Amino acid sequence: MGDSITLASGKFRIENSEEAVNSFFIERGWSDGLPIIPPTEERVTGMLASVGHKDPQDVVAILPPGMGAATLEKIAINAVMAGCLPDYMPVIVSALKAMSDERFSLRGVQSTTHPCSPLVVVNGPIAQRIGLNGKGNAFGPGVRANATIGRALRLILINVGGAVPGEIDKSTQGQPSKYTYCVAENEEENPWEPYHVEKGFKAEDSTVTVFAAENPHNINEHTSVTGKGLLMTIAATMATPGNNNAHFFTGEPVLMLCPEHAATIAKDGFSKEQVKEFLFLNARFSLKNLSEENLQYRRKFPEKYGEFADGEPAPIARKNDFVVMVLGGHGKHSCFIPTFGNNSVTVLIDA
Amino acid sequence: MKEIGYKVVWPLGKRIAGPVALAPRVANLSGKTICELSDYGFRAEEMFPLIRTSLSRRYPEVKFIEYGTFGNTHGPQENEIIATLAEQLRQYGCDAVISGVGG
Repeated sequence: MGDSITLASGKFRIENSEEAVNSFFIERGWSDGLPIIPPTEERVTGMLASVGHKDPQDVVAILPPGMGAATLEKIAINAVMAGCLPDYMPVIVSALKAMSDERFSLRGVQSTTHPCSPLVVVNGPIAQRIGLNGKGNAFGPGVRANATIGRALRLILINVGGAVPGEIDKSTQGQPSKYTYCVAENEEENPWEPYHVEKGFKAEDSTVTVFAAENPHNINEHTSVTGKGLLMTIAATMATPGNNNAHFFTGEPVLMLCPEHAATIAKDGFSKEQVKEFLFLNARFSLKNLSEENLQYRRKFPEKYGEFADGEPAPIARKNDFVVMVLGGHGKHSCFIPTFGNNSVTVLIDA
Repeated sequence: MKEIGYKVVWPLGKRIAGPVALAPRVANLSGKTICELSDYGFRAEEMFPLIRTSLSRRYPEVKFIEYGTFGNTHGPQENEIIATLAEQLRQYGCDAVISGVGG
């Protein structure tokens, strides 16, 4: 059906070379700074063919703060620019639906001084179908789906949502994962139920979950051989008072366990719920290490910090807000991902 | 070598919200009601009292509706609070709002 699609977007001709196209786009702030694939009509209609007979002008989401209409056509244009394959479109479309859910507070995510970027986690059979990596080097380079789905979303957040870096996107330092941040959960080596099943979906469903997340912080644990031993190191690494979850005492800190750590922890009898309880009780930081002015601030908000304003020590999040997933390949490196302080959203992928 | 010409399409989204006209500026805050909005995150509890003191010195008749009245404009309840904000501001006879200072 690709040939029969008529695009509504304005068209313009740039002569000479791909370099000229890239200069044109980058100079206008229509890129993330990296070279883009020129969004020719042929490429965009090819991308749109992947969404079947839907109208390219269907609005998937209105993206704040620019209040831009993310039509299927605009999504496809930016997906082409990012280097996506057409098969990735359902994930991108669903991730945008999730981000536009009011629980995600996209307006804040797009404009905050915090470095957060939407972390996209895909569950279910679509991950394998499109080759999305949840194993070795999942957060790193090397896999087109991971690299370009996250990039397409960033381009859409800029070009449709208006989050132009330095103008609307006020992030103090930014972070590398603002370029791309997309993985599949490693369900195959997850000793517990996968994340989407925990959230009430069927195992055969494909879902996408978005978190407004910081970069991953590595947790190296090659020494402990028991589940409890591993969790002690993990909890201690997570117990940092300067992350947003600890500071605001809201949001969902994410623990991405590597398969080897997860296997040991599960083998020693921990359920996922018990892991969360362990983190709630042990991922705590000493208030003695905070300044008096910081403590005064906590005391002013008993409704927020309650017993943890002066109690010792203080947790980084409420028990039910911890998120535990499995990700990665061989080795004993897990990671902690603090979040912005808002809620994650999980939606079904229509594919 | 033959030149290559690229016919490319526009990547930006159409804005569905047009520009909003600003309300007329308040020429003098004397006798006016100022509503405070905060996300409770950036020392609002210190900033707002300082602002109140300073403005009250310049405009003795000014009245403040403190940020605690409206709730946290950022976070889990943000959308519910924003949805009721216009009505609340009308209810309190708001002439001006302070937002984005001290959160």
